[in-house]
Amino acid sequence: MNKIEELRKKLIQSAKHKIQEKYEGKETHIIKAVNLLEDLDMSSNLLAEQLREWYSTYFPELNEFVQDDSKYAELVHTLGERKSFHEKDVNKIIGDSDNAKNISAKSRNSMGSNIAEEDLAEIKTLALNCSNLKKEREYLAEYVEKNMSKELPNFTEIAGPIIGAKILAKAGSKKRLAFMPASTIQLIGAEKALFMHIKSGVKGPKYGYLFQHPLVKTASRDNKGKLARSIAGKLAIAAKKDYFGNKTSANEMKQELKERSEALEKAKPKEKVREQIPEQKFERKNYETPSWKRERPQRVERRGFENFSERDTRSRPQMGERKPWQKFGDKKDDFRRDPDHSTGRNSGDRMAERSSGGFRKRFDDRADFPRKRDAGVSAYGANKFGDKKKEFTPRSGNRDEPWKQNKFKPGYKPGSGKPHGKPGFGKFAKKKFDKKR
Amino acid sequence: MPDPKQIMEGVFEINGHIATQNLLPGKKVYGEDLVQLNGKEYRSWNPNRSKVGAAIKKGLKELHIGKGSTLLYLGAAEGTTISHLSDIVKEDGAIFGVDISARSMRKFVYLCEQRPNLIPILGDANQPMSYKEQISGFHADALFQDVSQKNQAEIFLKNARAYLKPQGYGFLSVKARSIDSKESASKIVETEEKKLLKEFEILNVINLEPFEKEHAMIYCRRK
Repeated sequence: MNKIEELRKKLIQSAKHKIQEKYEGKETHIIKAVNLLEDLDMSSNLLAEQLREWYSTYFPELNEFVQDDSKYAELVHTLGERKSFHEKDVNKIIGDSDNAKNISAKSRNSMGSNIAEEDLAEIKTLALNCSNLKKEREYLAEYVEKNMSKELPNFTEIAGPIIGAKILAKAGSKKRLAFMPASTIQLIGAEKALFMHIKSGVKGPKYGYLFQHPLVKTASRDNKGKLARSIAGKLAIAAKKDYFGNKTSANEMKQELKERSEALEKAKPKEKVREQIPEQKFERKNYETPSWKRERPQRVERRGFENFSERDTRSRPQMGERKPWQKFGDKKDDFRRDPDHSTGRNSGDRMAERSSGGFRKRFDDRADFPRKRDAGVSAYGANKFGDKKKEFTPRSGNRDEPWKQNKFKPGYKPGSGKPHGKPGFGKFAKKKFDKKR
Repeated sequence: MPDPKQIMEGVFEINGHIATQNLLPGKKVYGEDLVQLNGKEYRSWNPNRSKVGAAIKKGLKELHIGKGSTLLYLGAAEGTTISHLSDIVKEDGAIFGVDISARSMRKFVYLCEQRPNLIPILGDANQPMSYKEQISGFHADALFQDVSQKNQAEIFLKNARAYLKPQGYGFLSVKARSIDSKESASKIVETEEKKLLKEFEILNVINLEPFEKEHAMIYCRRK
């Protein structure tokens, strides 16, 4: 007991030590910052939207003249009331004299309603928070840029700091990034599309985060996938260089990529050649002669009808099972029930799945009979859970030997259930069938 | 009040909920309900958060562990399931919890400091020899595994060979989707069963359906 206690204390210490080590690398902070960056974007946009909505009750014209969210927030926070929108002050913030003139003119003659001081103060604090969030985002982006170019210089040079950091965050660490194949790097950020592709076979994605890369952005639509592929290839090399400490710069690779993109743009896209369909000329029919006097076109037998029996076997399921007395197309026919012959909704696998009750039922059964397996029931068979396949039984009579059926017995009356009194019929029933064959 | 019905050793049933007797009265682990009965305190076991709890709910009859047994738990995470197992084995037992993620280990180490029978190992379950020295000398009575890796069965077998007693019991929870994203779940579970069949006698396979989607618990005994 003492031994365990000692061991426990030792292992707790070692686990703590390992956890400490795990978060000591610089990349953990980059990853956290980038994750925060995405959230900041979303929440600052939401706030800006609400601010515009609220302030527009007081000064709706400003919404149209200032598109930039951070400038809008600053205007609202510093100026606030409509009467303080002088041309000079507005110009100081937005840096556009024409626009400033317009805004100050509109502020004199606004269609917004009046507002209490208390309400305006509330809007102003919202604007302050909004512009602060925007500033925070900028600082964070700067921080990520600085640290990425320090930690992964080659990788960042090609990918750009933000996209590079996003890829790094998905990879988890520098080491895992270095061991990633180029094809994975290409599709990072497009996981949903990728799994849809694997699952249901829709077209696979060509790029994930790399779609925002400036080279891919500017490429024409046909070349985007190709460029993303080559960038991913270079990124994989660069990540390995960074991790294993090769100090050669990535300028060469960057140059190669540029050349590649130029070459792709220069090359003419393949023109899809359409087959030219010759114009059909219709001869004008001579309607002057009445139809019964016109010469009839010779009747040509359609293909496939010459040899009837051959066509029959080709287009229908094999009918080796069919007994001659069974009508073709009868729903009770054996071969239609046979899962091997049918396709579509009732095809083999689905029928088997249904008869065994599906995943859920099977396992439920097994939970109830743990001992059954011990008793020597075969572990992997079709009928391991005791539900037997239903054998098909015809509704009435003996189908294999139809001459033994009731209705062929002497004395049978339809409906009465008794054999009817036609002498001789029963006797010769078998012979009759043989003849028919 | 009568004492609650005991389903198996250390596991009770109270108003249709499963529960274990709290080792540290008054302390919650993951926000579960605490129930006072006849001067004893019980922690209710949430089957939605624990696969072993779900298996018991779905008809697992026996865990084959009790006071003083030694367990190996792969994929300990934040210690939700392990806290209940620690209630069952009491102070005399020992549970080794292995996990690879430092993030979730942070919470688990905190739990280990409180409970005297929990031992944390920050390591890769895929390489059982990497923590051989730390467990040296112990053999587990039962092996629990809950890792969502592609080679779940292989990890289970490797660890069983190294640390599980002969005739010891194994509880492998299979996450079908981390093995194959396309195949039907029942087929995946069947192939996993076949992998175990050489070294294990499979006693039961339980589908954890309403509690976990496309998961199954394979309950087996080492040959």
